[in-house]
Amino acid sequence: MVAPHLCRVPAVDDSAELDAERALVERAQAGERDALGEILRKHGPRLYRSVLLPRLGSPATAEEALSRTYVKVIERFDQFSWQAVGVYPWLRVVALRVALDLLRSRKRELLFEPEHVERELDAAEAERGAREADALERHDLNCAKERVRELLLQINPRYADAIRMRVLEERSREDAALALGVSVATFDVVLHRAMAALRKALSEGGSEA
Amino acid sequence: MTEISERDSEPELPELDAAEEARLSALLCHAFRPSEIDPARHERLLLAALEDPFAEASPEELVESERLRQALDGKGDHQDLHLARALSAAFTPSLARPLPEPPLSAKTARKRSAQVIFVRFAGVAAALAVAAAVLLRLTPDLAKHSAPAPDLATLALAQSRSTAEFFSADSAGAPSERIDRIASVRSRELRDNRYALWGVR
Repeated sequence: MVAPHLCRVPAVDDSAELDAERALVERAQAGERDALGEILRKHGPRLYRSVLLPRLGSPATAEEALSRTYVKVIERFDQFSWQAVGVYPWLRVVALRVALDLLRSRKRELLFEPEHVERELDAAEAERGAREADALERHDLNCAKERVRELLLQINPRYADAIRMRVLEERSREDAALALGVSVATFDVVLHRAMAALRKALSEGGSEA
Repeated sequence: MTEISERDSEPELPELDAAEEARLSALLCHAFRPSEIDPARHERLLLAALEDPFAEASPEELVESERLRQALDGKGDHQDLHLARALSAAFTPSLARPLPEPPLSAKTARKRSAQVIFVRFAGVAAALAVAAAVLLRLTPDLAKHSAPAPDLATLALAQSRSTAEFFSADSAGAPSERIDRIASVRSRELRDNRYALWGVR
């Protein structure tokens, strides 16, 4: 399935837009909160969609993380130094750090372990803003999907099929049951067992990446 | 169609309740197909973050903050006092003295003045109480046998505290069972505290 909304936030992909963003950054660093607000209004939804929600797994936690990200950005924006690809890579690193803190404080299983985000942060620091916002967003969304696929590989293929059809593709019970060649009632049981198997895989580490 | 007959193809699976199953499904969906943040909600988050809590105060803010401070100290009233009291009661319900009540407004006072007969009745009752106290004073043996005032420091009252321990991952039982358990423990502690304060524990 193709992830929707990829292009809803305009990309910083041409020089005019980058120039405009740079002017905003300079105004923000001079203390204009409106300018900083404009930057965050533009990139915040992308941080939520591609960095925070996939890793934290719930809208409420992702919103909390976005809020904390904003506070950190506001406190530290004077430390940002302009990069050719714009401000998004720096914002993404701040968001990843917030996500890492939240992942470490959570006791229940999530799809991502803190080590996953630590590796992302290491990679971000190694490449030092070599990729622009759209490329980073594609990377983040693909990472999250890859993580789901990787988890599904650790359970029975029929279980993985059940989860894929019913949860990820949102197909009807009848449709999914037909595809698996079982009755609808049986499919319900298979899906329940599939989720239990997935939980077991998560509790046993679930990270082979 | 294939029907399920046995589970021996898989090792023993953990129990999974409906809520946990729904949570796992949501985790998968948010990772695989993340949704957008609601624009109005995002705007609220952003505006809240952009607000500077340490910005210089206006003269009106200085006046209002002083009024609130005094109200919290029990002097005068402030609209935020009611909110503060509600927050305090919701977050740390305890036997401690509550935030001060605001003084009666003039309108309420006028209304109360119409009830002068009750005030007179109270005056008579107070006079009787004073007389009873004098009588007790004159008969020390009687006073000796009355219950002493409780020493709060030595009563070891149960304190209000978080219910987080009831919601840990290891906690057994469904949410409703945990709520029942919390209610039961809290009721028992409230009874114990009352008995302790009455000196009958």
